[in-house]
Amino acid sequence: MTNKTDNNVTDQYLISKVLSGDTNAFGAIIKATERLVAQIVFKMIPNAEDRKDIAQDIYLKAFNKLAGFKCQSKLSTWIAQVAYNTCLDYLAKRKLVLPGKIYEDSQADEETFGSPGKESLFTTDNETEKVVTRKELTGILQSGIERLPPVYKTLITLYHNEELSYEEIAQITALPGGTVKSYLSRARKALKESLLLNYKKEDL
Amino acid sequence: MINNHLSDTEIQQFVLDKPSCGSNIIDHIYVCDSCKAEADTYQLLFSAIQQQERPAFDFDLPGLVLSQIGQPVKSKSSSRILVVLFIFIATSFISVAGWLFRDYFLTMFSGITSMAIYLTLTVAVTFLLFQGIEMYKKYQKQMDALNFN
Repeated sequence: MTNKTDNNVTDQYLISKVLSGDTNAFGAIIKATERLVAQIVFKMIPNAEDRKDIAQDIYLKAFNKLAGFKCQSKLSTWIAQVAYNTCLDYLAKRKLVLPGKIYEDSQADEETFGSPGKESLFTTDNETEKVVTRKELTGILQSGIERLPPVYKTLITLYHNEELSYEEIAQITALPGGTVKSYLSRARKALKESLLLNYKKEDL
Repeated sequence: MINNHLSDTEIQQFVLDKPSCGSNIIDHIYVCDSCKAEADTYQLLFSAIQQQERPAFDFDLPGLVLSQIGQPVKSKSSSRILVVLFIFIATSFISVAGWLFRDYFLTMFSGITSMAIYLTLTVAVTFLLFQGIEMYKKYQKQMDALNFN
């Protein structure tokens, strides 16, 4: 609670400095939120060349709309919301949102390799040989995440890497809390199945 | 205790937030090897996600943004005054124009046949109808793009 209040006081102080003409205070805001914005931009924007323009666009929009920020949420959450919407606009313009792609691919994989079923990476006959190494796991996970639709990737990152609450994620994405939970559950399941499928492929 | 296997959502809840799970879920996982294995897989998955390398911009973002910000943000109160001033000027302009050209406006439609007026109204309504349908289609398309079911 105290931490939240401190954040709010710091946010209000920085905003008042920016609004009174201190652009360096905006530099401090960028530094404080850059990491979160990078997480969103990297997960939503597949084209590396466009990320630089989009990142600048996000902060220019935030700067221009700062006077309208009511401090009803954390400043970082609001900037993340601007980032998410900017990325969504980019995807919509380029028709890059691919609904349900992961599930179509998963079904195709299941037909080829069989359903992953209720098995675990730990339930094999010879664990020392078959348990995937950390490096392999990171690679499999990375490709699994890449196959997820951009919104799912972002939700996974915001929850598991940035450790944001469901409420904060709902604010950023403007999705209902129940939808955020449901999408996250599906994304995790897709990642788990991707992990198990890759593991089975190596076995074949 | 639950006799059927747990759903993925229940297993995820067990791994992420065990205290919020009902005793029936916890009891099931302790006796069911299959669901226990699923929970272990999710545990491994979550720990791997958290250990993933965090992305970072390879350029000076604050420097780039600050170089494009020339003017300080105008405070909301001053922008509100500007809006009110603009509305006042626009209203005054329209009122003066209306007063000066009042004779013309009063006789403007007198020479036009009722058929021409109905035709104009029909075209306007049809145009608005098509615009409305187009907007609705665009909205539906955007909603479909967000629906991953």
